[in-house]
Amino acid sequence: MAIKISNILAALAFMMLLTGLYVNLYNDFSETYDLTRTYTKNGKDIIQTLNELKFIQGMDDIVEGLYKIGSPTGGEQDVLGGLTAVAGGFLKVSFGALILPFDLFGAITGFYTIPGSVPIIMGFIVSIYVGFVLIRNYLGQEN
Amino acid sequence: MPLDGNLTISLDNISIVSNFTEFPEFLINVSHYMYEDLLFFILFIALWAIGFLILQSKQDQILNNAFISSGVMSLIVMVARAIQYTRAGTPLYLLTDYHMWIFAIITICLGGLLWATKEKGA
Repeated sequence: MAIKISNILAALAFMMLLTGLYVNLYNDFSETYDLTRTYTKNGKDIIQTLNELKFIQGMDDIVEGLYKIGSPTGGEQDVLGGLTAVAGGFLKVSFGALILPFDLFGAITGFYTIPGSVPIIMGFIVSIYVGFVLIRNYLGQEN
Repeated sequence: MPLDGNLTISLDNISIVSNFTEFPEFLINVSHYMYEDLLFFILFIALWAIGFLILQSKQDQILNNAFISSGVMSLIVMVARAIQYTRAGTPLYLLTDYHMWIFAIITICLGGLLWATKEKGA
């Protein structure tokens, strides 16, 4: 089973798409049906934890920036600030996509009760795996 | 709500469970008072496994089939999560967030794994 960098990037994009869809869907559901959020950990429920994912914050920045550009209050700073917010949002989304598995894992461990040693073991396995993929690509023995 | 509940069928619980006005209330009562909110989580897991086995019987693609069945199940459990009612000021649910998000998280992880290991042209 050959793993390629392009595949990993596609996987990250796909994970980002799915996470964004689920978070938005759940937000809409909870508002429409007036759901009471159950089970909080460290004072946060799961959706608050997931909303702290970097790429979701980046998307919020983009939307906020576009809104500012779309409805300026008269000053050119509005447009400039909006464009900066959009650019910053794009950077945050790109960075958030790259670190999504770790970010998501952090969110899961922040919400679910997982024994302390599991994140360390998982981090170790993922580091070795990513290291192997990078070395194989660097040596040109991808396939 | 960690998975540490016990089956609690007692006369008190049976009388609480039987005190309902609509059928969804009965289902929620059974799940909450007897199975500590785990009944429908286990049923949905079983449904997920059945979906996977049906897909697997048609085409032998473990990762693909697991992803499709968990994707469908995560949408079904999201709808099931919306079923709730309030009893004596306390909201009760068919499924809790804790259980519902397990399906979505597994789907996200399987989706990532599926794309990361995708063969060219597959």
